[in-house]
Amino acid sequence: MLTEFLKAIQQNLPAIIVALPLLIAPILAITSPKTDNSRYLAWLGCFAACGLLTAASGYQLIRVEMYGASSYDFGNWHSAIGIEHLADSLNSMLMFFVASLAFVILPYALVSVEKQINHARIPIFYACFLLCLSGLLGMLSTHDLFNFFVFLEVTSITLYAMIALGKDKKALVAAFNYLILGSVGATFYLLGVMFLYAQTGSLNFADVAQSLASADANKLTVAAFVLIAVGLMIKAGVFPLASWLPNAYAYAPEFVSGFVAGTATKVALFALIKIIFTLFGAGLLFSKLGLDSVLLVVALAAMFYGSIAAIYQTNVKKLLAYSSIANVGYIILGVALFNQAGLIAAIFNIVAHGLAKTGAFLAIGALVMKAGGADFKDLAGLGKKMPFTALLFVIFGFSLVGVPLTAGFVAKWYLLNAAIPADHVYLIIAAILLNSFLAVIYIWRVVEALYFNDLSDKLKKRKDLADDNSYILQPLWVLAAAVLYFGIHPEPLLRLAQKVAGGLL
Amino acid sequence: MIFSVIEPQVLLVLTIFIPLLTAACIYAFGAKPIVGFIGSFASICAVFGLYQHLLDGEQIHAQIIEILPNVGLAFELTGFGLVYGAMACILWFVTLIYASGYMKINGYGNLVRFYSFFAIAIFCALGIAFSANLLTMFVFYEAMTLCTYPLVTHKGTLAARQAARRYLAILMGASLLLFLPAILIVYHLTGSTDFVDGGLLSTNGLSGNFVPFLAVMFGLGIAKAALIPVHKWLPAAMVAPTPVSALLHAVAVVKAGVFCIGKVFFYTIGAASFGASGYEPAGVVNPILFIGIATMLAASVFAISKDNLKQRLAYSTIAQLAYIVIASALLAPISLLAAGLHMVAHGVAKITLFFCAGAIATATGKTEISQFDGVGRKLPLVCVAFFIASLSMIGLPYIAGGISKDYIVEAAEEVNLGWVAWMFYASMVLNAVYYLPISYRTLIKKADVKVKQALPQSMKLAISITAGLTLLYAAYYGLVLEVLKIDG
Repeated sequence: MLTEFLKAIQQNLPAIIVALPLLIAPILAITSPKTDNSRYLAWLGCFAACGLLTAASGYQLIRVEMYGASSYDFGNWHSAIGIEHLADSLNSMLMFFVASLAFVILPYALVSVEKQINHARIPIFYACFLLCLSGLLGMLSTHDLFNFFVFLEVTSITLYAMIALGKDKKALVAAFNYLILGSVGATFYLLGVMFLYAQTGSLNFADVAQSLASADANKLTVAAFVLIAVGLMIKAGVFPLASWLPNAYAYAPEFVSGFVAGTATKVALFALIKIIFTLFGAGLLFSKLGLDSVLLVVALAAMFYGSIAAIYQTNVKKLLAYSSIANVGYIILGVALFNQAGLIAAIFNIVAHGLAKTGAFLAIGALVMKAGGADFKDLAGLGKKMPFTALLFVIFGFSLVGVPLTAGFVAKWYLLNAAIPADHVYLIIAAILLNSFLAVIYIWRVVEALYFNDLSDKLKKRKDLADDNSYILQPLWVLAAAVLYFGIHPEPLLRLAQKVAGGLL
Repeated sequence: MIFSVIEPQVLLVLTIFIPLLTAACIYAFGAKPIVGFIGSFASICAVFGLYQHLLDGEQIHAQIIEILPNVGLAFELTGFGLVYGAMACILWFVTLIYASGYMKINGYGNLVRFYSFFAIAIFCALGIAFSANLLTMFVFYEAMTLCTYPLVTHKGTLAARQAARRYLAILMGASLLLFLPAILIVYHLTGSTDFVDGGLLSTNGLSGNFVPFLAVMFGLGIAKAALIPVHKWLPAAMVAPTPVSALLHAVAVVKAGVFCIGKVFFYTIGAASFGASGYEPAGVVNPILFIGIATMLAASVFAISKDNLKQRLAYSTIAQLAYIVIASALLAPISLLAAGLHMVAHGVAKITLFFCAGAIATATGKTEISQFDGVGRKLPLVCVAFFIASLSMIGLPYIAGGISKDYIVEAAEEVNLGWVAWMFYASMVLNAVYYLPISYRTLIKKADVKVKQALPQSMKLAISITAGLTLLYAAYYGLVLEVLKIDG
């Protein structure tokens, strides 16, 4: 009996991973928000679901590593007419990354959400969070173009809601901007998929890829690619399509900023990589369309725009948001270089930057919740009052800069090595290093404010300025440990990335 | 001694980490001078333990972390590194004596931060001294830039902070934009960053037009050596309290720069890659040699125009660092010998000068040289020590700087670049022009000087020790020479 049950779970793992949060979310939504205990119950349900998801996606990752990729047809409908989900190295790795990240940082939500979101809406918030997670996992695991769109919308709509739940009125405007642009992106994507469907008569990734590979590229294919790529680039926050990003990150509740920065854009980038390398085929895009030069220009523009804009911010959360734009540029650069080392750098950076940026947002968020504002003058001098939180921010900041012994360094090292065989090697290396220098400047501005400036008058009178409790600190320690671990011992992640890169190219 | 029973590898790593432990203790127990003294004394003992191992001819190599294949943190014991490390530890101890009086009498606060970052800076210096590859060197080099920032900006005023920003921007900018890509090029060419006897590039048979280019990238990227286009951070750093200027900007930080350059020229690039073989001059003359000579002369000229004593000393430091860079850049067989000797000679003399500058400012409140008339009558010890150290700076025979300068000249003659000697004679004259008038004002001119506060014994003691070391160097430089010769 039990073995059969376990076997059934094992066989339907891809479905469970996506469906579990979908099923638990409505239950959370109807819990009562009135008492502390009932709100705690909603959190607990969410936390338990994330724990299960982490375990399930970890198990799936191990299975994929041991037995290779496996596909799953929903309801046993054949993939040509039904929906196929696929578990391969790349997406299992990222699914585990997303699920475990959500699990690790959820304790932070207990404090952040309680403080920053209207109590009546807290159960809804956790339901949204689980739906969003379900969408992200679905985007990663699906092998069906239309199904991907569905999950994309699930993620986006719940994200709009979560951002709009922020107490700051600007959050509403930011969420609205994101809604408009996000919808444009989704529509572009859908239009592109429609073109592909018209041409190939299928929505399954593998089928479409096969038909595209066997036929000569025509204008419809190119149009489909451009539409899909632009749609995903909006979602991924690729400059110049990232105007929604700074405000959305800056005015969202602290917990949401951290979660979105680490996962949502990264999943869209994953989709972009998958579309480029497996759907259309790198041969068509890179050799016929010259996509590499386009992406190169986009990447360099994003890096410089993000870094330079970050230097001029007065709001630390916006600074981090612009830094995200720059880092998305790094990832795109890795793709644009179109060689193994570049792709490894891109995949490694997706995880490394996800960890570091989530950590940086959460650490700054902890300071912001105490100080009551995210401007430099609000955070001045807090390094002495909240030593651990500030120290943790410094670790994440170092990783963003690419200091050796942090994960960011390994990513940059690979990127620099990937650039050497490229055409414009000096230009690219100079751009990467110059950007590292710009990153030093903007991270240092925060460090300087935290450690070397005096407390603002408002905070001088406060007696409760101290490090937060372990709900806040423990997720940060775990993230910092991961950042340092992958900086010192990147092998496990690199091996995965190598395998993935080898499979894609 | 207890250090003889510890495994050599463990001892090497322990030596590097003792200052870091000291910093942790200072953070835990507060800014008690005794903690610093114990820590620095332990460092000195540990370094002497390493000295014993080195004399026994042991090869000590300790790999700590390997991030990627051939990319990781590793340490090794070399004579050149030991000389730099030992100098940093011993002068750290002396500086702590000086600082215990100086910081108190001048009413500085925030001492926990001050002493702990001071110790961390020494930790970084030792990490650089014993690094076994370029990456380790780079990590500690950058860490040193960051951890000296709080020391430079210690006063917390706007001027201090602006100066500290310039300090950070120049050092970080140069290292990220030139030093790091140079390391990357080396890694790309050889697949390694290790320091190898005879030079990593040379042993791989690599030479060509890119070598001088690489030399410039290293020479200017390692901005701590303060060669002229990237020297501005050093005068800016003079806003720091005097013990910081004394130890870091005369000894640990700037010597880290010249140490790295020497190490890179001989253990990464290698003389053979420049086309030099044995006593033959390099086929391609090292461009850093010219930049060094230009820096040596130009910085001295700048120094003459400075009335502020610390500023003048800063420019003098830039000129003297150029001596050491020139010694390395000559690529002669005795280059590193000469560089190591001058590193120590300049270290003890320049720290004395800074101590004296701080003592004069503390006792009389005077910081401009034009106000120094007659100071020597009230502060005889300080001004005589200053005079001794300035003689060493000028490079008179039989006093610290003179001996090592002769070695550099000898190195130049070895590779048939005798004209370099004339540049040194010119530099001697310039040094005399800006050092002797100071002693003339303090010791010979008469004027009525009021002493505002008596100097604490600790400051006087520190000045006596370093001035004594400057005098004794002539008798005992053989010890340094012996250690340097072990490298071959």
